[in-house]
Amino acid sequence: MRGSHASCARLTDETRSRLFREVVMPHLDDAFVFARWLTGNPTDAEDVVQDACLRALNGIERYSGGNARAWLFSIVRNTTFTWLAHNRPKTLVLTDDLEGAARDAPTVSESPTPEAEMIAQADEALLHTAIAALPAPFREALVMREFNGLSYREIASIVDIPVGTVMSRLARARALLIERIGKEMS
Amino acid sequence: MSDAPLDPHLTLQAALDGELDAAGQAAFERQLAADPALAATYARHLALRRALQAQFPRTSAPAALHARLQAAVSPTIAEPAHAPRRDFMKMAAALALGIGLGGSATYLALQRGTPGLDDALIANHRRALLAGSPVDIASNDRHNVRPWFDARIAISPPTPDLAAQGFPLLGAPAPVLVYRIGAHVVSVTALPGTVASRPTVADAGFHILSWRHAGFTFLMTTDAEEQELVRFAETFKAAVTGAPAP
Repeated sequence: MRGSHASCARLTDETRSRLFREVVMPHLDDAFVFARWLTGNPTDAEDVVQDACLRALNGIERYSGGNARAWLFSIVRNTTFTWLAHNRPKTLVLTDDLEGAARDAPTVSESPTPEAEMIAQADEALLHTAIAALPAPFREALVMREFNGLSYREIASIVDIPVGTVMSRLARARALLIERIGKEMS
Repeated sequence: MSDAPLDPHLTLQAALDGELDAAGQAAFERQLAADPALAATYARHLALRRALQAQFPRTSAPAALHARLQAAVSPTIAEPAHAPRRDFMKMAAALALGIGLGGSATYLALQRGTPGLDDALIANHRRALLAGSPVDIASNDRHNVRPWFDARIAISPPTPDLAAQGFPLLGAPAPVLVYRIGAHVVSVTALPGTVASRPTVADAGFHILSWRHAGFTFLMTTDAEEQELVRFAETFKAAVTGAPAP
């Protein structure tokens, strides 16, 4: 126990700083975009990302090579959940409940299906409201795909779900957005 | 997962996201040509993507955040000492930041039991090093620091002045006392009640030492050498136990 700690601590400050600059800093913008959608505002996102980056720095020896962005995203995601549980306990939705809710929700919408031209004209406020209203697991998948450009495989590893689930969550997220746009613009 | 490719709506997601291989993409395009309803759905998805890209152009992390993180790993730690007199607004701003950031990790760790405590303490200590000023109340006068604790939180740990022994008190991000220890600082986190006592912990270049006294557990976290911390702890303990109860 003591030994493993000691070997971790043997990373010099220079090595630690260099790793942090190489592994974490290049993905700071992405981490901020992600946290901003998860927390809902830039001020909270800044706090969460700072906290997450410090955790990353503190645990930099746990980075074992491979996808640095996915590694950082996992930390940002966990930090966000901890933060939300602490600061906004009422908004935290458990994934299990949500999967049930998603299954029970009607899949065929009664509202008119908007034409592609109408969707293309949706403004920022409408899109923002629609994304914010998405259940958290759908929203995070959509954000990682659309705003961070992550692959299904990356999202699957960050959220720790099968690739097929990533696909179905994206399908639900997009269907809900399209439905909402149709409702608001018709 | 095995039957996922059979659902055209899931295949549509994969096509939209460039996740199909060449054969899959060709098959999907044949499906699109044969199925006008699927083609209309695909067009809606493309329009949604265009709208999202148009309305939410890529943003960068705030420059201030970038700078703070750069500073966290710069070889020389920013000079932590600040002039003790600062204007009220600056102090109030630092205070809000400290309460929002400084305490939360520690309390969270405590609520869950102590396994994450070391990480939380080290994160708090790093935060103290990282902030523009390491402290929320910048004062080297314990007569300022202690009433500040009384006013802000229900608990008021002893706040010994160790300047004469070479450890000037810099101030307190609630509920942490920050002392200078040579070129480094030591954060003393005072937690009411008992935290499982354990030997000195060394992790990632930080040392943590715990001490129980008068209903508090004092957790001293530093980036300085372990011997320095031990020397500080002895001085701290002597000052606290020797101090008359208020």
